[in-house]
Amino acid sequence: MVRALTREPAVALMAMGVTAGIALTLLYPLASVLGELVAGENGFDLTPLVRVLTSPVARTTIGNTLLLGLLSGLLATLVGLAFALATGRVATGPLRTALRYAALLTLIAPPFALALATIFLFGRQGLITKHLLGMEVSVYGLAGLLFVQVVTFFPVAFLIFDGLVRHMDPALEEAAGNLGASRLRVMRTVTLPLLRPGFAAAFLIIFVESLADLANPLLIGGDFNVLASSTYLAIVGEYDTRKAVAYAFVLMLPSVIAYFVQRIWVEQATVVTVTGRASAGTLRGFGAGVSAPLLLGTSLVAVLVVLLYAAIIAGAFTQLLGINNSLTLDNFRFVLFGIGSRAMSDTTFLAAVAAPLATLFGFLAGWLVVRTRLPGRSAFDYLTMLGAAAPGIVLGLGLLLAFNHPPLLLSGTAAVFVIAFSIRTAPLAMRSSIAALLQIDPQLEQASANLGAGTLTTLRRITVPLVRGALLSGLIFSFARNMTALSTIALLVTPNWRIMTAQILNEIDAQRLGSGAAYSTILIVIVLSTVVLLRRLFGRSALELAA
Amino acid sequence: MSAFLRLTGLRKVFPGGAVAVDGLDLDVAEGELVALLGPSGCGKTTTLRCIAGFEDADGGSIELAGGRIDALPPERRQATMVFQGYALFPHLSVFENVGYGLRVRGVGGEALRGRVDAALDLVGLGGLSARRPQQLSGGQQQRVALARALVLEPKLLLFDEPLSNLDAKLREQVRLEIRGLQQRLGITSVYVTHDQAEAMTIADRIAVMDGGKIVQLGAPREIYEAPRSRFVADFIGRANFVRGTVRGRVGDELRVEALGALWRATAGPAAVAYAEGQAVEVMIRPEDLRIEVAGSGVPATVLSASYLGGQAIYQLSHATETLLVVGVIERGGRLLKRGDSVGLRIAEGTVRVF
Repeated sequence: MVRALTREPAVALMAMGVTAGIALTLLYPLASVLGELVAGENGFDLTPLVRVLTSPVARTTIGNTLLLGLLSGLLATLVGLAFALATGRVATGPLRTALRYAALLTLIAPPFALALATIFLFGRQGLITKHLLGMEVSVYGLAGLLFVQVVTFFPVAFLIFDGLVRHMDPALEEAAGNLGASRLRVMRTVTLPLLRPGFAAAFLIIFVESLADLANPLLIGGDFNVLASSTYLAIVGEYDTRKAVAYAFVLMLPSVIAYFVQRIWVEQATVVTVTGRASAGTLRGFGAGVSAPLLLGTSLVAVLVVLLYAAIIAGAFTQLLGINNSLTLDNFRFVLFGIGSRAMSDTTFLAAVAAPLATLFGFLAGWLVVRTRLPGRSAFDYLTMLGAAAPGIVLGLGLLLAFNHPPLLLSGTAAVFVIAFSIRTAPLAMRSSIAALLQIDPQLEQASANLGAGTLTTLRRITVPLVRGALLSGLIFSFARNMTALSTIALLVTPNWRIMTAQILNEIDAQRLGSGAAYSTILIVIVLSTVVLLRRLFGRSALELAA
Repeated sequence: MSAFLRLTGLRKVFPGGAVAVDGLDLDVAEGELVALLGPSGCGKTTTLRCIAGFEDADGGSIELAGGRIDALPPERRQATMVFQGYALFPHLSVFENVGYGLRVRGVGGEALRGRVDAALDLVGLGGLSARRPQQLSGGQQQRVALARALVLEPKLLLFDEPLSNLDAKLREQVRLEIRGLQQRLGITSVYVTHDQAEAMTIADRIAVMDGGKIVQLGAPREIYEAPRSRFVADFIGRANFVRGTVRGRVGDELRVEALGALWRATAGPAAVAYAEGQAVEVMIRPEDLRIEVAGSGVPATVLSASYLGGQAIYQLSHATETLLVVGVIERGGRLLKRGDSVGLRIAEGTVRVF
């Protein structure tokens, strides 16, 4: 091993670069959170942490967070399953296509957009609740939050179940039917049990996403405080770092645990799926007793999704949807040519700088993991994944604490945003690089070495051209993620650099819901064009990537 | 004979403890082609990959043209390889594939074009340089791989089962071409294969490998006619093994009783010390058995007959033994049928005991 390293100075250099990158941009900020957590007046001291966490407010907040995560996870998993079964086994033709698009549409919603639309439709002045049904209801609180999260996260479950449903071996159900089981019984005893790995994976991923969600609790949570929003408000409203750090710590634990448990699950589930596909034949429907409710339910959700999107666009083009419905372009004028234009150019610039950096970093880390025998290389994999596993608000807090003092005084500079964007997308670039590299026969790289090319030459002339597709899609996808990132950068914004998502938060805070909707519309257009571009370039797999 | 490539005590242990190459010694003379032949798992490919530098040997040394190369990275060994799946770069044209090694060495322009074209002409692919590898047939891809390795004028050419992806007819043609080119250019070569017919056609010498070691090294004819162990006899060509008993000794040879008669048999290294009464396995090549009329020699009955064009393979039975016999069938000659009774003679000096 040592010999391999000294023989390959280029590899050693790369390994050092990746290690330094992980240490500086990820571990150091996370360590700063931990450091702040245990630092008392005279060194190590846990009493402030204990004091914060045993307060009644904190206990309620923790309880709220877990309750929301649990309910969101369960409901969104079920809705996703329903969509997978409906599109995979019941619906055909245009209905099937429509349901699929509806399920994937919310994947591209920027933060706030769906919550905003929910307020437009179901709020106190809601088009549906007040004007259509004449009801006086409040969407603020657990119910509204749960609704928005389920709509936001069910596509994640849909994609997981969709993969499983599509790869299911028809022979298994045929065998059950052949042995005398009724259709309902086949579903109960064969179909659903085969989907079992999907339940765990979908639930855990959504649980983590729900915990990490900052935008929706801020906007529609009302008095229902959760850890992510409380962490944010502790810094922004109360200037109480200690409290923020304590909340962040409690938020971090279940997220990271659930994330890694899920990764192990998913990897096992994939194996099961691959070995499970075998014979030809088509899967049968389920019979009317199951099919009809499935179609009805999923169609309702699909209509709802379309309505939500329509509400965002309508909100962007009206004075104040629900109160003053006169058409206007003021919101766009404000966003595009007023103070909002700064946010657009700043965000685009930062996102465009961070995307190639994160892609390059992720590729190099993936290459080191797959193609070298570097000792401890799998640590790159797991440590880099921390950037995806940790809730964004925790990372943002870490960056805030780590870089607001020497030796690395970066607060308020472009660098800190680039880092914030990169640590979120680099893990995804790494995973897709690893997947792409595993597809390449190692003999090609060996042939290159055999013909006299050094490691770097081989990387440049053979490896990179062969995974170009994965790198390019990773690049575009990273850009889209950066444009819509909120939780990581929410604590970092200063007047120096304006970020669109943070700007939306400001607009909504200032009750300018219209310009919030205009911002959201623009972000949706940006992300949608990215997805379309990806599809043009790489076919359908890109859409799945967006998960 | 001075060695151009010398492997001394080469050893490779894989993580987990499997010994792939177990103290292997091999000298290859300049311009010689040595085939490493053996069943899968015998260590032949690992040996080749150690020479190329894709595996770090755990012990021993590799010398090429008088210098140690085992500490060099693969890209500096000047031992180019023709890979089993060809490993052609799918994103490069045929021309760029063949020119890759030259370009990496800083050769460009006219010099590059001239050498690549010459290499492509050499393998008969002159007109295809703009194609992508995927647009070529298997045989053409194989030639590109060969040209890509040859164009660098390497000190050593390595072949890793280069023909295993071709169909049988093409395989026979291409191996003659490879042999012709290798002899014309005089490039020292190591050729890994599990196909004994391929090894016999192409190699100056064959190293038969088993369990990470070379169990016999020699010219193809020597290996076939004088195998030193049952493993070699069985692996190279067809062989009959029948039960026998040692009945005495005449000089270096043993007298053995088998098939109801006494024979003079050449003893392998292990069998030299056998005492009288020792039960042994007696090896006879199918073509060394001559079929005669019933009543002369060893009596046998035909179990089956397969006509292969010009010759026939018979399965014969004698008591509890079953024997394969090759018979020449001339135009109009008689093919034996199942149930026919015949007599068998064994050619002088062909019986071996291990």
